[in-house]
Amino acid sequence: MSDRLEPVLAGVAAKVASLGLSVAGTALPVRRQKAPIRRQKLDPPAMITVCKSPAPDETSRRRFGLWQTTYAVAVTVAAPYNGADGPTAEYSAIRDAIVDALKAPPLPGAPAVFDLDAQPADWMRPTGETTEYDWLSVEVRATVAHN
Amino acid sequence: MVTLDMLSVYDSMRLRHQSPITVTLTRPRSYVGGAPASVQVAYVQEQAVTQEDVDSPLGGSLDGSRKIFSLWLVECPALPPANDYEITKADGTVWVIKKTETLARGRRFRCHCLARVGTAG
Repeated sequence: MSDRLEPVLAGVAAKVASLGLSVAGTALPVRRQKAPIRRQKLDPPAMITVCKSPAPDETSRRRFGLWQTTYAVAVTVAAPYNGADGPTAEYSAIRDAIVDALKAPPLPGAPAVFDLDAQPADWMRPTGETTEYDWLSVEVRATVAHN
Repeated sequence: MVTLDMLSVYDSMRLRHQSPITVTLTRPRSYVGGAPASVQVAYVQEQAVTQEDVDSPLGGSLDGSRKIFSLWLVECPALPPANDYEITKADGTVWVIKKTETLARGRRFRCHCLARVGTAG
C-alpha cells in the first residue's frame, strides 16, 4: 500500500520548522495536524500547523503507465490578535519566507516530489476582530509521479 | 408622598450582587477618539466562562473563551463600555467586548466578551 502524502506533509513541516519563524519574540512551533486546529488549553498561543488542505488533489496521466498527483498542503499561522492597526511586518515576512522555502524542490524526505509550488492564501481570515486570532495561510502544491 | 427615582433604584441594584469584582475598563487607541483611556470599575458582575469554537477556518477550529460582564453606568460615567473595549481582571486576563447590550434605561451594560488569546486559560 503506497502512501505518497505522508512524506510530503513531513517534508513541508521539516522545511517550515527549519526556518525558525517567530512572532513577537516567541518561536513558532510547527505542528502536524489533520486540520488547522488551535485548542485553547492544549496548544501554545502562537503556532504553525501543517495539514492537508481542503482543496482537492489532482491526479492525471503523465504518460503511458505513469501518473502524477498534485497534493495541496496548508501551512497556517495562528497567533494572538495584535489589534486592528497592529504591526503586520512579521506576518508578511513569515508569509514570504514560507513561500520562498517551498516554491521549488527538493523537499526533504520526499524525493518523489518533482514539482513544488507555494502560493499565499488566506490573509487575516478569519479576522481578529471576531476571533482574537491573527491568522494567515500559505497553500503548497507538491507533485509526485507514480505508477 | 414619596417619589421613587427609578434610575436610583436601578443604580442601587448593583449593590445586590453576591460577589462583585473590580476591573479595569480600557478604550484602545482610536483614530477618532485619540489616546487610550482606562478607568477602574467596581461592582462588576461576571458570569462563568463558556469555552467554545470561535471560528472554523480551512476545516479546522479556533478555540476561545467567552464571558459576560455586567457594568453599571454609575461606576464608569466617563467611559461607558462599548464594543472592542477591553476589560482586564485583577489576575491579568484580558477580555475584549464583542457585543454590548444596554439595559435598565441605559444604567446597566451587559458586555459579551471573548478572551484575548494567551491571556486566559
